[in-house]
Amino acid sequence: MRAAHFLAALAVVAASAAPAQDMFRGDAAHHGATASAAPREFHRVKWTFPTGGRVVSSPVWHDGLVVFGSDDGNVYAVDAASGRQRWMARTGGPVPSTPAISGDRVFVLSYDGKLHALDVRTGEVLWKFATGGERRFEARGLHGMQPRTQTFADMYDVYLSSPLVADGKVFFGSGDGHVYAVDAASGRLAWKFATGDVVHASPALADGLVVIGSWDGRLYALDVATGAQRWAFQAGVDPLIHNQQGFQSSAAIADGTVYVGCRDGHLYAIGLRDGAQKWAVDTAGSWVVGSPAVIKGKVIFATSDTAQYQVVDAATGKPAQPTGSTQAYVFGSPTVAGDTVLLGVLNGSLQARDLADGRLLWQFRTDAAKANRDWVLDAEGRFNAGLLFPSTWGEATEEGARRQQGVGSFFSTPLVAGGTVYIGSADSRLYAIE
Amino acid sequence: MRHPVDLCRRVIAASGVLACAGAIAAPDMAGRWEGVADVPGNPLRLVVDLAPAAGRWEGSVILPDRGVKGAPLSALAVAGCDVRFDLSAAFAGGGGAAPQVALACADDGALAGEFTLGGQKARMSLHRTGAAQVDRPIANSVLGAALAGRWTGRYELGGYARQVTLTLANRPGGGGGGQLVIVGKRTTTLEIDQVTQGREYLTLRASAADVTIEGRFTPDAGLIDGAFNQGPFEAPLVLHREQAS
Repeated sequence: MRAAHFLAALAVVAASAAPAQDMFRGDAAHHGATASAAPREFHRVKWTFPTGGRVVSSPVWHDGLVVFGSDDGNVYAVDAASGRQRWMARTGGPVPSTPAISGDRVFVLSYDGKLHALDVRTGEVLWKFATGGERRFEARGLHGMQPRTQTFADMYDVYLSSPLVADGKVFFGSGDGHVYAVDAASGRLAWKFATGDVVHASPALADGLVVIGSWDGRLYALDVATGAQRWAFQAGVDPLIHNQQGFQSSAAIADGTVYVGCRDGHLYAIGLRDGAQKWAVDTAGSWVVGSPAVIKGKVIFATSDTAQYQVVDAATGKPAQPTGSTQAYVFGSPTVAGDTVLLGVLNGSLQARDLADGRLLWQFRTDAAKANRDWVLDAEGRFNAGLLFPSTWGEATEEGARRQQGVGSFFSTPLVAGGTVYIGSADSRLYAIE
Repeated sequence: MRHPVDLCRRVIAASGVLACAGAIAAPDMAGRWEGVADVPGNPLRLVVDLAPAAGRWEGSVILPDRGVKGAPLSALAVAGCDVRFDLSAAFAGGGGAAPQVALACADDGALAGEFTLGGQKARMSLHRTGAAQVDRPIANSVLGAALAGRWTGRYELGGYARQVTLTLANRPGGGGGGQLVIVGKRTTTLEIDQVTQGREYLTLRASAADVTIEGRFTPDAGLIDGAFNQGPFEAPLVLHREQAS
């Protein structure tokens, strides 16, 4: 009996020491769950690691290293125990992409329009693959901004695609509108597939299909070997102000079903085999930007404007828990760690919830959120929208969005390893919290 | 927290013992210091790392609002409680003068002083938050024999071609360097001051002009297959090694 306990304890330690969280959402199917246990109460900030720009990228784990990108243009590997930098690799632009690690290589996208392959031990450049170039989604009169004939870049298109590595290839989307497969060893193009607009969602893979959404409003399933389209699912479009369209969310795949959020105000369940819709949750026009987590027959996701934390039945889409409030927009994705769900919120709070009932266990707020300079937040932690967005003309909306991030917004998705939560903030820091 | 120097002064005054003299002579300025320069309406956040190294001080700065990570502190001088440096490396490329910083120990354990830029001054204070993590400049790679020598190629930008001649060599002090001559409507000569040679990938930088040449190199074929970059502009560039005559 004692020996069994000892072996069980060893198994837990091993799971904590080497969690498989070496890519966005933890695995190729993007379940968003890890066996590592998260703290059930907030103890302290273990360390912070400052960079020169927003940390929109989500950290990933490799052998005691936390690897992530920063909008200062660098990719960092930080010692998880001490918070000290092991290496830094410079790219030619901001890095709001989550790295993927396979073998001894790190793959990550930069706004320089290139996929970078780096040595995970040193950060040495192994090769770079150039796409047709990066850009944000843009549209005339976007979000109702004026003048309505003016083309505006979307200030909420904050992420770049995060690579997926499988079968010796690196899969990713690009601002040039393509989905790419590149040989992981050589950096040579294997195939590319053209969509109708910017692709900043991240690919998921199951049953030989690469599933990824585009800003053209379609979710595509592509043959992993050839890139040939197997099916495309058409979500809502918004030809007037382009606010209610496009896939920023990355799909999660479980038991033959694709779960994905959309900016058209829905979370969709779609058959992996045929691309047919199984059910949809109407979020009342609120974007679902983050990627859902799928565990134990439930789908966990959060919304932007309505600031909702939702858990629905994976088979039916019916509510499985009472809806919770996150107070402010959520763009990041929920991470399920043992019996706890971690979620970063754009009001600068990291929230921990009970997996079983969704109750808030604890939340950590950045110093900037506490300071709440310019009253970005109201007393309840919601955005002071009236104060932030006084006009729809010119750059006023973009300026309002920039001010929102001044509270240290968490666009990043939490990584949990060894009982510690790692997450990047728009205040430029990577936090280690336990 | 009261600063050690202040404490020692009180001990000396009370006991007449000079036990703290060493501490007064060399207060420990090493560490990570974080704070703000109170530029009106636009406070500038700074993370400054200071550490002694081989009998002198070295330091670097992070400016989270300016995309700067680990830029070296220039003209760094640490004397007792006084710390002075300028931020010319951190502000490179923006044009205009570089900020100058002059700080001294404050009663609360902080460093406080002035941030000067363009003839205007702002209050600045830094608090120690941990051990120093100075970013040191990456040493230039020693070039392999297959890379040292003369390379030629051409690139096209803005509708017309430029001829490129690249000369690479190891410097007497260690590490590679070189010269880049670009002939277009005019001739431009640039110093290659940063060289990073990986197993298969080479990055050369002429930082004064923000020019980078990078690409895969194939020594056996005498080929560097990559790109010319300057700011937002990029053009394919293939360089061939010139055979020694």
